[in-house]
Amino acid sequence: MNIAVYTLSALLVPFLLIGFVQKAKAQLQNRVGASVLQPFFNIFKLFGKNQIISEDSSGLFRAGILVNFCCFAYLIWSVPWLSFSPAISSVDIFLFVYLLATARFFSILSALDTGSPFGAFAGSREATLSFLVEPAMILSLVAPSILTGSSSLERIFSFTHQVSSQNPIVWIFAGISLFLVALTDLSRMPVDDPTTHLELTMVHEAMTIEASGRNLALSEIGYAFKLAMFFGLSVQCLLHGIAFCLPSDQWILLAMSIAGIFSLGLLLALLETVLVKLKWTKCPDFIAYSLTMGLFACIAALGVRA
Amino acid sequence: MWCFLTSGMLFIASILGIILSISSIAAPFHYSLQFPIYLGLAPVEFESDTTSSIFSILLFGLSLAFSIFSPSYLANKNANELRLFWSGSLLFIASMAGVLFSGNAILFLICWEIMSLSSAALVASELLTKNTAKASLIYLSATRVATTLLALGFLCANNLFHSWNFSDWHLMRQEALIPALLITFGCFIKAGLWPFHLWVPYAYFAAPAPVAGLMSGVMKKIPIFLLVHLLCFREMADFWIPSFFLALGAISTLWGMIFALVQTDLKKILAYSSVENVGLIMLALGAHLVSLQLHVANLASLFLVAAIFHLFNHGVFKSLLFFASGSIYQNAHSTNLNNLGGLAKRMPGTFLLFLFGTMALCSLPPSNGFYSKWLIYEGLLQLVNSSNIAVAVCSVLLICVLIIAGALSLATMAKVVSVTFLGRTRTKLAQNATECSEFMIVGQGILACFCVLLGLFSAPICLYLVQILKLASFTPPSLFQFTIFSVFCIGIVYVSFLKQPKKSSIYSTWECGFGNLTRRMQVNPESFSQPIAALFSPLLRYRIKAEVSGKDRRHFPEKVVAESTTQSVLESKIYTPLVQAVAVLGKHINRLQAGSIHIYLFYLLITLLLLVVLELVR
Repeated sequence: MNIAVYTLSALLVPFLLIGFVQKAKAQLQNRVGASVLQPFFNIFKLFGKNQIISEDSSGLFRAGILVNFCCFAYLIWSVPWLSFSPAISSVDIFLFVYLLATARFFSILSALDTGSPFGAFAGSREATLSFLVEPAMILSLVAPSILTGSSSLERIFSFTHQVSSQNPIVWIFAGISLFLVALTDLSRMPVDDPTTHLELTMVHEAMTIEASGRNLALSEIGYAFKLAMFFGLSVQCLLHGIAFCLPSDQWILLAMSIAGIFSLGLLLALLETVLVKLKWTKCPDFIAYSLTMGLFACIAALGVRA
Repeated sequence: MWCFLTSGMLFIASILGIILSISSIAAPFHYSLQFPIYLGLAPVEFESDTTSSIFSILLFGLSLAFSIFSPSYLANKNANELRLFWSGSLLFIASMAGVLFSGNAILFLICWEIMSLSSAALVASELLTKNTAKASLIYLSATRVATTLLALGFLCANNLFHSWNFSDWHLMRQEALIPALLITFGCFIKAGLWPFHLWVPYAYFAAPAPVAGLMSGVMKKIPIFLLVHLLCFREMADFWIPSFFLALGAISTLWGMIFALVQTDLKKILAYSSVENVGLIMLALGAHLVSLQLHVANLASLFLVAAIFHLFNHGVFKSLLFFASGSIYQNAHSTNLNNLGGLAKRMPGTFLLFLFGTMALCSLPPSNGFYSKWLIYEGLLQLVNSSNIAVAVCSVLLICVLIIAGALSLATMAKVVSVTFLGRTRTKLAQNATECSEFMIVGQGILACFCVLLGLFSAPICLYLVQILKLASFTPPSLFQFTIFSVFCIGIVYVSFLKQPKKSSIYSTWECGFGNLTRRMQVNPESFSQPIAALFSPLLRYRIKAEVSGKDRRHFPEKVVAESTTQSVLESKIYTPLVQAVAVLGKHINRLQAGSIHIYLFYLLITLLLLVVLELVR
């Protein structure tokens, strides 16, 4: 059952989410926008296309993209980003963070493998952003793990532990922190503009600048998985925050999780319409907000436990 | 010819050593030489216990790889250099084995001295520049201070326990605080913990690559062996001792990685990263002491096992990386990252093995480096759930410190791998590089195999360590499922490489229609680390001096120069004045030694008078 739920959602939700964000953004900016199903078409198209590989690159270019994809494919089935317990037995919070690091390491390497100055800039920025954002990520995961006394993501997000009156603060702070982390880590708007066409300023898009055909498709799928996973975890945190007034039926919770993910998508579209991209040197200040939220969550969790 | 003979003998000796170490786990040996050979205060006495056997497996495992790797590395040295190298390194390895198995303090100190001096001679063996001389002097003086502290500590301990035998010493007890502290400080210096790490980048940079591998792989671990062996502080109730370990460990972890990030030389980066790893081990030992004080036996054993396992892992992957830096140096004639690039196509074997080492260094799953770090994380998370709120807050902070250090090491190693192996070559010398000899590949391959095996069997190894060290049991996390996944992942990679897609073409890297990308039009090590270095600029004294000039300065400048500089605050603000003060003091003290017999007679007279006065007072 879990396997079916996760497989179906992994195949649908990430791509629909990206399509939905693009559509919502277009509507908010008074444009018609492409269909919500456009990401599916894009990926099918990319799989059929010719791939061009740089003459300067070694085998690591393609291997890096594949490892990156494999990491996210593993995570999407083993992280409880929906209200069900994951399909494969769950990873714990440190393995989760380090798997993300593995994916990042190999994507940086494949960006640099072509000897392209753009990819190198982006790789350097990606390394910087990850260095800034990882403490916030771990704090927002440690906080709920203090509450539940376990390091396994499955146990942390299991909806079975008892509800206490202080818990919502911890969960909501952790949820907000994770959402802000997601914005940075997925190179979305205040940190990076995914729609600009100036490679010098971009992070994620410039990293994949040399990828084409099925290589590009794989890295796009990985990105979609990551987006859905982060938003899903953030929604799970928020749902646990209001767990005391939720029904205990699994399917209703599943529907609420998916609805939550899409409403975060709407929020993202709204943010990307209103906000402008920050100057690179201002990014640490923005990331500091997510770190602060994570710290608050941890302090609150330590308070609850003591 | 005799070079191969020596290395062959070392090879056989290493295999025998490994067999001996493994068998001595089950049956500890005690061997003492008879009367005529005597050290004055104590007999020549060798004995093994579980910790020394574990450490000697590491020692002989690495010397095995060393014996295969070195002959080809030394291929174009002259006979004198070879003689120095081999006599030095054989002495070095033998003395390390002596340190591990010595049964009393006197023999330990003698072996320790031989170890320090032979390694100093090896550091100086490639005396080409003034910098090497400086490096060996700095290293030598660091070892002097360490030995002094250690000797003082041993004297104090002997005074307290009236024995030179390690087995009679109880440094874990409260009354042995002073000797334990002296010994610990000596160990900190030798292990290169912050703020005593200054010698590390100098010595490893100057030493020949295989020796640097042995030094960081084993020699740096010997002080930690002494701490674990003597069980220092275990029963003391002061909270400041473990906090001290934790604080120094955490600072070294961050400091080492921040400085590693801005280095542009491969060996210096590896040296700073070993400062980080020693910090991590000390941090685990500190957490071990904390959990002993909180009376959580299973957590204490988890941290001890994590420390020992990480030490083992670090020994293996760091020597692998140092060996690889040696083969890069031999073939591309530089370890400066600015001179390398594009070696992946020219040295595919070295590249692949280097990648293994890098994954372990960045502790990416499923490597062995990840597992030991994972144990430390899990332990810290359990400490958060302990009763003491101060401990809980500290553990959360330590988790953050480790995560930050991990992200920094990822950035550093991404830089190293990409600038060394990927992209286009930056110089002619790198252009002409070829793959290193088979022996060198095998030497590195053995270490890479150790890495993979340690990663695959990490959980059983930890359980085994618990069993032989007779510790409280705990359930180590399992990487089994993940390992299966990664094998699957490797399978996918392999298959998709086997099936080169039909619709694939090779073309130049996109260059905005500018024309051909030259060698210099790619990232260089300074520019890659600039965004992070800029965040740490106060600490690193990071400055960028840029100069753009020419007639049409705005659009077509004739001259564009940018140079970044960093400075080690500790070295310039603390150590340099300290050394100068010592030098000035030495000049003044030097006057006492006037070279005149009359004055020496005068000193004798004063001493006698003083003794008489002392006796009268008593």
